[in-house]
Amino acid sequence: MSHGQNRFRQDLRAVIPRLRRFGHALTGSPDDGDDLVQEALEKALAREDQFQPGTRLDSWLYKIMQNAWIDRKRTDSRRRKVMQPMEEEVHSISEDGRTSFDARITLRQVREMMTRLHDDERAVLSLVSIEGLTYRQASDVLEIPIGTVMSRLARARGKLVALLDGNDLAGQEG
Amino acid sequence: MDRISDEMISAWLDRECSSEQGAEIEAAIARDPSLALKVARVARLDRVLSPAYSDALNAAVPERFETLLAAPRSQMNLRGMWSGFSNWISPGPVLALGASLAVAAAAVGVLLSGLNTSPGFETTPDGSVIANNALSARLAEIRSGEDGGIRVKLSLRDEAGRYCRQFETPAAAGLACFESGDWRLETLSNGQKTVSQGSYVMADGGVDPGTAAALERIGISEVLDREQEARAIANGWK
Repeated sequence: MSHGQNRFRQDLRAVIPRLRRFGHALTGSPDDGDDLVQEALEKALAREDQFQPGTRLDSWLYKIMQNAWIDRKRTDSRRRKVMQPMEEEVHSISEDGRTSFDARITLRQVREMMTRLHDDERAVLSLVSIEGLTYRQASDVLEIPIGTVMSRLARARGKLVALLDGNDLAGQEG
Repeated sequence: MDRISDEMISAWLDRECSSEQGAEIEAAIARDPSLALKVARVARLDRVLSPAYSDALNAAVPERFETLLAAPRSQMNLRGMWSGFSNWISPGPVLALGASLAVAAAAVGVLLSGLNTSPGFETTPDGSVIANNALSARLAEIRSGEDGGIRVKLSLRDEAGRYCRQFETPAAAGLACFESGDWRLETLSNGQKTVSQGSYVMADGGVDPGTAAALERIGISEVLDREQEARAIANGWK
């Protein structure tokens, strides 16, 4: 294995924790997320010569994962298991009022509410709010205009805030 | 409430708006308590989002990833590698000529007449289909990933010890193996032509079934990495 190949693999290893975080957020499941990471690593190793040094390796891998996730959803019924109604949890959060939800909500509940978002909303929210990508970078990963990034992001946040408030999403789907 | 859109709030929180827009939003927040509350709630949401997925950042890298990264390229999972080329091949019906070189010989002229580039094959007296001089030169010289009219996606050795190259043009994909001085066609698939010899849809969005079947038939003993491929090119695939 050449020095360049070793370096590339070291760089891949360094971003695995963030890939796993993104995979979890994107799919709603740590196991499904890790499967995406596995697939992304395999593809990255096979396409090493396509990676352009100087560009962001993590963004390249996020894109591979996002595309792999889209492909899987087309044929994989597991998605339906992720997208479960959460009415009871939502209402239990709202029982004590609206001003201190972050003090009472659990991280698990946050993750569950994320699964209520549309896939494209969850993807952009994960990239920007969790992974810290700029709008331009998210636009490149998702291959959508920045304006679409902005609208999906705002919609995703609005839905999550509504869920945290205990409001149903009925009428807000779009 | 001021006319501050949800997109503007998001952009302000993400520091993605201009200084003028930022000033406008801050002024609106100062004037409008309900807007200030709305912004605060979105900001709180962001504060809990990242911690909700932070476990992976502190966990050890799973063994399966370590194993994958430590494996020589020749021992990597080939199915995974093939599926990595899904962006290069248009899914959909393909004409898969598969294992039958006789069928390939009959159809290859039709297929190649529709290619945007000019790779070509010819049929030998014994019925084998081999690359003509122009295509042979390309198959012999191009490195994987380079675009030279055709594009080679993978170089390998089959179980018989032959060098083989999986290639692609804008309109077709195929596999050829170097034998007795010629690049012999093992399979050729076309993504646009009318299906006549068998209809397939790519099972995983990766390698077309014709190529996959050919690879399975010839058996892969080794996938060449870039250095191995460069040596093979320099040595004339001998």
